[in-house]
Order: sequence, then structure tokens, then C-alpha cells
Amino acid sequence: MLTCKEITALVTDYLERRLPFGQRVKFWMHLSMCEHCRRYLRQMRATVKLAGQVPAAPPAPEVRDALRQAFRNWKKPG
Amino acid sequence: MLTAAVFEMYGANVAAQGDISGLTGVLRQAKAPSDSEEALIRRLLDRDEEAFVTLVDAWHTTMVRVARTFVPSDAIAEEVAQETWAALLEGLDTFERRASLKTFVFTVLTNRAKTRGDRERRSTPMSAMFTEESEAEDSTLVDRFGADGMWSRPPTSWGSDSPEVLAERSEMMRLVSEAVETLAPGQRAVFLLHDVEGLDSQAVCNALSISETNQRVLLHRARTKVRLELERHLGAGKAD
Repeated sequence: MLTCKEITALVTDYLERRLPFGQRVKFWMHLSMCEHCRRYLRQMRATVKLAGQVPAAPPAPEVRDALRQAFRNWKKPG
Repeated sequence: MLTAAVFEMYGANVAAQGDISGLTGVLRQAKAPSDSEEALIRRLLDRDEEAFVTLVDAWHTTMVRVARTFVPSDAIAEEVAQETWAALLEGLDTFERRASLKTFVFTVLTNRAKTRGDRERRSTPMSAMFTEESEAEDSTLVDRFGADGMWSRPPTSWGSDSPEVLAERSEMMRLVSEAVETLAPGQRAVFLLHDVEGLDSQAVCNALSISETNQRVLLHRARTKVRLELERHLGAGKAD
């Protein structure tokens, strides 16, 4: 039987589908009985998903201008 | 009954995998410029300035943050990121589309940042740091379990665990960004590349020259820490 502590240690392997089948079954069995670990897993999934949604912050205008300039220089033939 | 429970979990797992591919979709939407990569590369080769600026807007800030995990100052990180763009333009005409442009850019970036970091630092090379970090004991959740390994202080409610509901909260994106800043450099680099920018594990391993196992350990610790930071702000009585 896996402990809660072990569940939290295995959660990334589980989410990244790197747990061997036997371990995965043990993982599910624990979850089926442990409300706290089910919440932990849901929060972990939410964390990953939210991280992927952080919007790209555009660079400072002067940086952007400098890169634009670099592009124009590159653009010149030869 | 147990079988039913296992099936239920299996169902949950299938849903999770759905989530993960859904996540890729979301990432594309959030991060990638609206054009397909192929079209962007073509426009770039045609010397289309706006295509270039689109990419700069989408990637530059994260590039600086990733570079910063290797070099000792924001100014140097900025320099490395700008040099990477110059290197991209240099090499664009010969860019072979074996890797995605994004993976290519971030790989060039980390290599330059690493070289620069080693030069600036002189003491511990970055490569050693990544390994040391993943070998040290993880103490993030150390005070949360009893001697029997069961929760003594279980995860607290965030009001909702649904990413859609949580994303509605105005402070959410700031909280995630701030949590990322609390990570140790190796963890931060892996988390930014894998979970924020959506590079796959193989690309992250290549970009950082670390093993798959090492990458997963760093990713795991980063996620554990970021979740804990979110819990600190969202958990226990702040919502519900």
C-alpha cells in the first residue's frame, strides 16, 4: 500500500505517464481511498495547466526596437 | 467494488491524458504565434519583419528568464537572449527543420547561456549544479506527513481545483509567475521550458544537456514547489 507521502513523490511520474503498470494500479488504489491525495492530484494538474497559460509578456519597447533594427540590418542583402 | 474504483481511476486517468493533449492545444493558443510555424519560417526567410517581431513578442521574455537561471545578472541574461536572436538570423537560411523552430531557439539560448554562465562564474560549472540539485533531498513537503507517511497537514482547499475556474481569478497568472521565481535555477529552467513553454521532455533534456531522469526529478520538484506556493496564497480559508 502506498503512503500519501509516496503518492506526492510519484505524482509527476504518474502525470507524465512514466509509472509502470503495477505502480499505476497501486496509485489508483490509494487515490480511490484517499480524498486528500485526490485533491493533491487535482491541484497538481491545475498547477501544470495554469503554468501553460501564463501569457507571454512582450519585451520592453527599447529591446523590441533593438531587435527590429537587428532584423533590418540582417535583411540588407550581402 | 475495488474493480469499480480502479476503473473509475482509470477513467480519471484517461481524462487526465485528454487534459494533457488539451494542454498542448491551450499552449499553442496561448504561446505560439497565430501562424503555423511553417508559414512563419517562410515569412522570415522572405525577410518579413512582422513575422520576426511576432516571435520576439512571444518568446523573448521567457528566453531572458531561462537565460537568467544560468548567468549571474538580468543584464547578461538580456544580452544572451539578444545574441540568440542574432544567431537565429545568422543561421536561418540554413535552418534544417528537423527540430521545431522554438526548440531550436531555446536550445541555442541555453547553450549560449551555459557557456556565458560558466565563464562568468568560474567556480561550479552549470552542468554540475543540475546534477547536485537533483541529488539533494527534497524537503518541500517535509512537515506535511506523520511518521506513518499519511498527511498530517493535508492539502487545503483552493475554492476550486478546476484550472478554468482558477484562471478566472485576476491574480492567478501573477501568482504562478511569482511562484516560478522562487524556484532553484535548475528547477526553474526545466519548469519554464517544459510546463510554461510546452517543450517536450526530450527537447528539454537536449537543451539543458541533462538526462531524462534528472529532468523529471527537477520538473517534479519544481511542480511540487509551485503548487505549494499557490496553496500558500489560495489555500485555507482564502476561498470556498
